[in-house]
Amino acid sequence: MGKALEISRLCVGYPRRQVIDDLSLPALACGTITAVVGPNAAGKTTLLRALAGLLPAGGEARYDGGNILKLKPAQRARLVTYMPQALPQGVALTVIEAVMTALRVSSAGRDASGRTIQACAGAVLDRLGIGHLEMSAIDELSGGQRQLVSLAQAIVRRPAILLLDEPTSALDPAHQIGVMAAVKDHVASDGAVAMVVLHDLNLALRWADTVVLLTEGGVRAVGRAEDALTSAVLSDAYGVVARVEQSSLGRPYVLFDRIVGP
Amino acid sequence: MMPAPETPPPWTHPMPLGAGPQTVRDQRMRPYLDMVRRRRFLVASMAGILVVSFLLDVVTGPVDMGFGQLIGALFGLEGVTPSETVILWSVRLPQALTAVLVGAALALAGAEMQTILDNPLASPFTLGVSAAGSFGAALAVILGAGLPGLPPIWLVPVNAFLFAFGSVLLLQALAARCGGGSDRLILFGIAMVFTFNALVALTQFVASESALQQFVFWTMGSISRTGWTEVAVLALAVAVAFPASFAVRWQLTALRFGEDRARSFGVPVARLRLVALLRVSLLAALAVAFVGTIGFVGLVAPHIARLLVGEDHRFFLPASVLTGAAVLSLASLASKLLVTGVLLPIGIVTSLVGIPVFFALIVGRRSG
Ligand SMILES: Nc1ncnc2c1ncn2[C@@H]1O[C@H](COP(=O)(O)OP(=O)(O)OP(=O)(O)O)[C@@H](O)[C@H]1O
Ligand SMILES: [Mg+2]
Repeated sequence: MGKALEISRLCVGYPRRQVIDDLSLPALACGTITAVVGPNAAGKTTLLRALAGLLPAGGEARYDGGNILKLKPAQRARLVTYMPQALPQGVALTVIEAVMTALRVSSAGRDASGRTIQACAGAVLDRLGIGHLEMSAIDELSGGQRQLVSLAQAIVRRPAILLLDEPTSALDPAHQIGVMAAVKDHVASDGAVAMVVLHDLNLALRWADTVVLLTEGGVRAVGRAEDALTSAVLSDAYGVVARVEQSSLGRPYVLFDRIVGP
Repeated sequence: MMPAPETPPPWTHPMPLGAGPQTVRDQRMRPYLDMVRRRRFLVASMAGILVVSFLLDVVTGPVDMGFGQLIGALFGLEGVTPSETVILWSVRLPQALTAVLVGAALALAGAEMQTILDNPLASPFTLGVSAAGSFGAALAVILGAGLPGLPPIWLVPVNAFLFAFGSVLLLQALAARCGGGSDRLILFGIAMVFTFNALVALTQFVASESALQQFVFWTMGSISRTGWTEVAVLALAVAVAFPASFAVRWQLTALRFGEDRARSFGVPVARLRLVALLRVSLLAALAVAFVGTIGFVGLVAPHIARLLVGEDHRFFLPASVLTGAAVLSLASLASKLLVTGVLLPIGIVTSLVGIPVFFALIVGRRSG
């Protein structure tokens, strides 16, 4: 422990468009979950893809004494796993094959026996509540089930830095909680850093240790969820009149009322 | 559904299911192991079909031969006429082997193309690689144009290879520009088919009568002109390419989950693509150079393999290769049997059989 992911002066863009300009965040401690929230097109996916080395980026993302932006792809893959927003269509593989492939393809999985790999994959599927689907074809799953398979592929690799792009967007309430609990377990047991893009602010309030509110102008707010997500900040960032209230359990809840009028 | 939060997450243990009793563990693992066994069996069955069709292909022809003569001629036993021995060694065996090797080469090329270009319609034939190779061959056969300093016998294959490889590089550049599973790629491939066909027609227009005849025969896709040199070169190409692609089977499987995910898993996608395309163009170009245009094997064989064993490339690659080899071997057999006394060019047979299969696949894809 004591390790952290420190992002400073990060700049990311596409050929004709700078999306993230000089973004710095406080250190994200190991064993914690950071929720990345913000309106559509704010740059959340762009941020995660840059950290995963999928987009060229300037600046620094220091972890364990090194800059992960400067690592060779093979070294970075050992440390970082990125889960994209969607699993592609038309893949003729079963669920267990999908998860085993995620492990097999890495250097760690190459030496392990087939049985060990299979056991690890099965265990992660059980943990996410989709163990019974392991022999199903991916193409025949529901949207939410596919999202869980996609998450299983990421978690089974046990990355030190786990980057999840909207892992709960297609899930029912039980699976949303299940996914966040699984991520929490993973970061707690492995001392990993998780950055999770969420659109459900209440999920962020409930599960995240740190919240980053990203808007097109940059980081709008960052900190403990209760501190960062105030009604004034939310109304401003989303353009929707927002209230933060206490639930009967004493937890803060965000409620959106209406679009901010002219 | 979810275990209580206080149970330790399973992936903190190196062998999570190892903790339970042996029988429970075996129960849990059985379905997957059964599936693996089933797939091995399917791949082995494909190999069996290939062996049978190869043997039938060898003994079938204008001169009737039984398996007795085959074995006799192979091992120089008594009771086989010298002419039978000659027919077997210099006609039947090289031709039957060419069919097997060309089928394997085209199917492997198609399977790899479909994976790395993330498009189920990719194949050397549909994306114009064969057409480009034909144009290279046309330049050599008709105009005698080619790399200087080459022995004339190598002019056609080297030209075909260079053009096929160039066309694959063009595809690669386009795929990189407009993203993997793009329909534009297929349109571009079709455009390439038409372009190279037009160029071939142009060279044919200026060709002399004898060169034209030679070239037309070449384009029809025939294995009747191949000998042991071609067999050896094809065998070498397949023997180099297949292990190389099998070695990256996990990376290819991972690529099926999209480029971002594969890269995040540590797959060097750009290098994987480039090296795979090198293999594809080598295989496709050699096949085109030696036997002319043979359509649909490269497209259909991977689809059949995918239906049989899925896309775990451990099984998908060998199944594709064996299916392609068996299909072309059966086509070679059919080309001798369809019209008695006439040996049809094998390219015509595969296209005639391939088109209905292709339609069936498209219709199946729509409804399924
Ligand atoms: N490949 C690309 N080329 C050019 N611009 C892009 C590309 N991908 C995204 N962008 C732009 O970058 C900006 C940020 O996009 P990004 O996908 O990071 O948003 P996001 O916060 O993930 O949004 P969402 O909540 O909708 O997923 C957008 O304005 C988008 O138009
Ligand atoms: Mg996004």
